[in-house]
Amino acid sequence: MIRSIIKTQTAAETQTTIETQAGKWKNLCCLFLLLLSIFSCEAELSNSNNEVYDEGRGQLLASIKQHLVLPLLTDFKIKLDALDESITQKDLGLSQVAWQDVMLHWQWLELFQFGPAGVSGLRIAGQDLRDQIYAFPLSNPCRVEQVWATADYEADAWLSNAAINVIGLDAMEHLLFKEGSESVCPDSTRIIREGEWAQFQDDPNQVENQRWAYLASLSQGLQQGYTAIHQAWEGEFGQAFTKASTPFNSQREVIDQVFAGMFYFDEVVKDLKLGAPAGIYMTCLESQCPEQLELRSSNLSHLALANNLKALQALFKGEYLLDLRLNPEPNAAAIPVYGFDHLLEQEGAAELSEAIELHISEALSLLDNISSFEEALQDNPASITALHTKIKELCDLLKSQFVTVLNLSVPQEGAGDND
Amino acid sequence: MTKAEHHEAFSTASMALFRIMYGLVMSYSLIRFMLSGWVEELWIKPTFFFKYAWATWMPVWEPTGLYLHISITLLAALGVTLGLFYKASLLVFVTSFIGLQLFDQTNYLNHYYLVICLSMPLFLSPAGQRFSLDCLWREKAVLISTEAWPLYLLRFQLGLVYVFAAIAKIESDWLFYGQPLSIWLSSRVDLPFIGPLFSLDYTPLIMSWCGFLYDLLIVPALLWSTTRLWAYLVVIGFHSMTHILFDIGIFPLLMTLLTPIFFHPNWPITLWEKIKNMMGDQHKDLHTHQPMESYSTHHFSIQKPWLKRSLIGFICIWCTFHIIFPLRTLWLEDNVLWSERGMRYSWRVMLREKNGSLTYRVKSLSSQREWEVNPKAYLTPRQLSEMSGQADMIVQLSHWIKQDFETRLKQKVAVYADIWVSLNGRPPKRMLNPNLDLTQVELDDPRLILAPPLNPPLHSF
Repeated sequence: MIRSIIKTQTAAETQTTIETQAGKWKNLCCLFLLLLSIFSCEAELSNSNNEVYDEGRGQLLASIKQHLVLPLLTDFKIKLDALDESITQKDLGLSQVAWQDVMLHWQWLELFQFGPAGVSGLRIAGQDLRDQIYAFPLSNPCRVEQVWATADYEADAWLSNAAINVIGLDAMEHLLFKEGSESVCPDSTRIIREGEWAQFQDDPNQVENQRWAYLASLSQGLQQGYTAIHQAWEGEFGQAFTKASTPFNSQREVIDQVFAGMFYFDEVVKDLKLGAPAGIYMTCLESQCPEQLELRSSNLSHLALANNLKALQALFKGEYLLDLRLNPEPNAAAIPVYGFDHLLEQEGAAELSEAIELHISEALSLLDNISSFEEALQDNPASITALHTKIKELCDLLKSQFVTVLNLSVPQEGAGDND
Repeated sequence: MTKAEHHEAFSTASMALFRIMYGLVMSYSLIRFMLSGWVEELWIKPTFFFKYAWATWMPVWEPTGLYLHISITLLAALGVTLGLFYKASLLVFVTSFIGLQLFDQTNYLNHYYLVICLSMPLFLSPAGQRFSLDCLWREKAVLISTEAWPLYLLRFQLGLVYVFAAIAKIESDWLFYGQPLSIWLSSRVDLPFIGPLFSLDYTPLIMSWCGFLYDLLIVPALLWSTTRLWAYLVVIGFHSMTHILFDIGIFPLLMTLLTPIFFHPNWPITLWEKIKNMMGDQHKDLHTHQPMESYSTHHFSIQKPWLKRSLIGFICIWCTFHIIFPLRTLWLEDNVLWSERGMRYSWRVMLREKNGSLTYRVKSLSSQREWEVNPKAYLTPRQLSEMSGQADMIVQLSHWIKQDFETRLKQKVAVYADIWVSLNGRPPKRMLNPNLDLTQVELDDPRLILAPPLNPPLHSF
């Protein structure tokens, strides 16, 4: 059909035009080819950045890995081994102390729910491994009692198949800190309805034996979870993280994942750890909902939140401070400490960095005056409200100016295009 | 002018190619939509949809209906590409494409609006009667030349994007501080080859000015035959760069492939001839081949006077509207980037980096008890990200939250919003009046949107 043209042009005229414009048209063809190659190669281009060009961002990622995640994991392992040992000895007091140590230490790592600890399908290289360690806000003491009473943990491959709310540190909390023989389950649950719990409680030896056996099984699960996370960080994921290589497409994408981890403050710390128990957040329609407190049995809610804040502070400073570490790693000394504060300074937003650090310090000061969230809810609810307000201000900064200055993507907003 | 010269001057070839490119890009876009899982992300996962104020009636289909809708749109886009039942295909395509846009306001994009706007000049033009299956299979007359107006109308519609994009850039953040380019480029310094350039202090400002001058000058440069080829080279460079740097989907491809409408109308034919000649078969072709369409070639013109008059009237109204409507922001005493009033349908493309932290407060009118509500509970992350700086959408969701709480609490509630917004890296500022019950307020209430920040944006020089 295209041949159906320019009927009246003579061959001679055409020939002349061809000669004078041949170069021009050749250029045009080249342009089209160039265009095609650019559009088709773009994906490859963004994937091929094995070399890190932005020194600041590169240093940030290396610092997060070497001065934060790996040292935190190393100390976690030391504390986990102590817990394991205390459970083997079946010493309740020792186990409670060891568990508190592990639990509070894990609160630092709660902020790093990306990569292997992140949710698969939502986070790049996510393997849901955090859920093997800790399930809050999905903790369910009643389900733990069901497993305890029925010794479900004895089943083959139970750990790999169990629901996340019957494994991990929150299940351990219930086993270690539960007082009395009353069940927390409603009457409608099978173990109450069919008398299994009452029958179980009739034999204190069985209760104790199954408690320790269940705890041993949980401890084994924690060790497995730790090993998987640690191996990933020491191995391929850790390398990909610092080099922004596959499965990441760019440094920006890696930092987006770190930022996704920070959203823990907005969604969990502000809304669920503080807002809900204090009756501020929408999930509590009563005046207060202390039953929604994190770590209520062990009364560690306030200390857990303090460690969440310290972890955020560490992300800004770029390191898990040496004086806090059980096992300082001398090898990491060669990598300079570089936190988000350095990156913000590089982007000309040092004031924002100062504002964020000030909010963290002020929130920590407010926490110093609270000895227990449960008591504070009863005696001084204003102290919880003040803390909530401070954390909200911090989240407002993170979700507005921080996102803007560093051009971060809010987690999971990726579907679709922009303009 | 001889008949041949006239035919060449206003050949339908470039228009037909425009139609093919338009259809192809949209087909690609729809296929990409389906393969990327965006149908589910954008229209199946959400439980709440933001509606345009003038199209609140638009329902969102169930998944099967959605896929059927998109499939029909895709078939129609292919029909446009191939020129099969062209006008019917274009009509079906644009109607169903508008339908897709009406499902959720969150998904508004300037280039989707452009696609819709372009459909009108395409519909009026004879673009379907050349290089089309309608001519080949359905034996419709091949129109090899046309009156000038269909071509000029297409150029006008496409040129508006560039011109208004330039006008929109005449503001201090863009021209004096290089924002938001500075923010965007600083996060792309890891790009191979060009990345390190982005870390230089003045690169964003220089690129901002280049972008402004590009938008301002590209249309005249494309219209002038002396600069045309170089201008198109710049078009390719510019859109390739935006494609690499930003997630703007099909926009660069669409603009790059449609821009040749500014070339000589006969350029596809001339190019084809040159290619054939470069391949060395010019003598054979030129002397022995008869055009396939020679059995029925016609000139496109409107003969009936009343139709011509109506058409002229319609085109005048169409063009006036498209010139005046984007300029409505001049009558609003607002910082458009802050208030977003007049932001849509005015070709304000990639002008701001804006993020907000939004919390609703629901207050029981009987007990005065107050709760905080995270909008995330009602929205997908993408919806949340898009609506967090847009007053109309924040107000819209407040009605839904009110309804939800009144059902749960069985009492009347008021809904307020705490919204802190950072525009182009400035410290966050409260955007909406926190003391107004959003369910009782009109969007044009002067108390609703608070004053924009007056301090300069983030800058490194």
